[in-house]
Amino acid sequence: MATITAGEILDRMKKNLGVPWQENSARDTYKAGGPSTEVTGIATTVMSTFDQVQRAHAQGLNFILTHETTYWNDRDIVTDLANDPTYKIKSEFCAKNNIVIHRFHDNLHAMRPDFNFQSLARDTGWAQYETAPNSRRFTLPETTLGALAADVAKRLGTKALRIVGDPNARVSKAQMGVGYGMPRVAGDVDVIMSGEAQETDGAIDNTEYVLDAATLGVAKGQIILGHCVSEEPGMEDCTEWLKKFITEVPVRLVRAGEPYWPK
Amino acid sequence: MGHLSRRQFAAAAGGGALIAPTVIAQQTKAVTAADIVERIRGNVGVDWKSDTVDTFKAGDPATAVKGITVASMATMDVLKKAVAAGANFIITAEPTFFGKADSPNPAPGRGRGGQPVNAPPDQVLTAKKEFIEKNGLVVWRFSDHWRLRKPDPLIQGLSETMGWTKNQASGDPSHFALQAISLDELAGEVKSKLGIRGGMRVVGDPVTEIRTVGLLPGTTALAAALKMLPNVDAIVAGEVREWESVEYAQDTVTAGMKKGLILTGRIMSEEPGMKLCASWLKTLVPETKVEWIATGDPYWRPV
Repeated sequence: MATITAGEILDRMKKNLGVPWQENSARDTYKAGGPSTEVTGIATTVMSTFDQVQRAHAQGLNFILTHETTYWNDRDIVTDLANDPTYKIKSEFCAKNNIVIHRFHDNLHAMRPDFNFQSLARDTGWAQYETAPNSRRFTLPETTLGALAADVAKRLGTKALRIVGDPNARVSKAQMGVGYGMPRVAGDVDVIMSGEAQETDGAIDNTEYVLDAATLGVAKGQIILGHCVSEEPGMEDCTEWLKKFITEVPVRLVRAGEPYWPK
Repeated sequence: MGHLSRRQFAAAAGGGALIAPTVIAQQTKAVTAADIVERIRGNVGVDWKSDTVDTFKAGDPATAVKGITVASMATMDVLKKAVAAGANFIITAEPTFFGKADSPNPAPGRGRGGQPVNAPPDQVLTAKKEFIEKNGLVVWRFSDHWRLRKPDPLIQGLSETMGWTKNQASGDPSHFALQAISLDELAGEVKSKLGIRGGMRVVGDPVTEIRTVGLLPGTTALAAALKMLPNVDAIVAGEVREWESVEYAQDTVTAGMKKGLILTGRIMSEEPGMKLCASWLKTLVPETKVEWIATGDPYWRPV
């Protein structure tokens, strides 16, 4: 049986990326294990939560390719975590079970098309209404914000999403983001949708803007899906892409899922 | 005669000599927004920072104040209610003009869809500015310094609203001991007592038994959760990031610890602390009416 190391998998990803790999990305690095570890299988995911790592391990997959963080901060800096009980348990589990974790964030977003945008547009049913390829702007059949939000929630299977705006506002022109990238809801954009956004006191506070628009009778809306919910569809496409050039070991999406329950 | 009330006129007339209206005006000289801010600066009990968001955002600080409205966020809805209540000075914890800069020309957002440089004036921003001008409102932000007070007024307000003040655990003013309650029941109590509409999200097993709670109102980074979660059964927080405290709480539960994280949303976590601010201001500005107006939960979700 053919074998392959984590480093060899990364080399093949770099060759197949379609754009130059950003070697200086502070995010896209090893978080556990290293390049010489022999890989038994690849588990792709939006976030390498401890639960996701355990489920991947149970399936015999020891290489976690994660879009988001492993140790709860953007650079996965662990210097302050040495005495944290959760850090100890998670890191010891990875070490004991020969698990390799590598992040695939900046380089995934550099690809064209960007899997995360492409897949979210497909899974919401919006793709056919995109005004131009990779524009992330859609002219949807006119509907109400309430109906649009309900449809998106049903298609993505999310329960803890949050909506801002008048449910009866008539919306059509939509701008989509993923992850922490919420577009601005001004000008001729009726509704914005993304994963997560700073609630107030940022560069642009869409939430307050949409609340005020609703008070003034201006039709605007904001759909906040949740960070993982917005980017997990892209990891399905990432998995299919990897399968094209990794044939020695199984490659599977092991979902992180929605972290919350609504109340 | 315009400056004299009926009673003042009657008193003056009855006294046999008319007092010049200007004298009356001086005697009843109203407090200005600038005067009130001076009093706040003198009484807040923390050193005033040179770099702060606590500045005037709209209106003339020399305006005579008829009434004060305190709110978590000076939304259009809050401004309308303030005007209806006869207030013309708005004190807000969060921005007014859709961003930290409170600039009349907000920067484009992250991702695409930003406004072109030469775009026409934004209709929502324009309408809000016009409403403020037409009604002679003065808006001042009070965030940095209110939060620096000890004890933390946001924690104090939140614990008062929850009815937990008597349960403060020794050692840490943000920790509270409770009668055993499930995470789900606790979330339900937080929701009903804060009046949350639909923005609440919870991490953890709903049946986990909670006996100690820590409060992290406002927005907090991972460091706050790292410090607090090992010492309490559940955290009630305003806003945290999904790749920080949310994943940390999830992993802690997976690691076998019986914990929970309840997220109220930033505004709802700050409402009680600003209600407390209104009570404090009443003692500081006795000349004028001070009223807290709820901003309310910005979020809802489809059923």
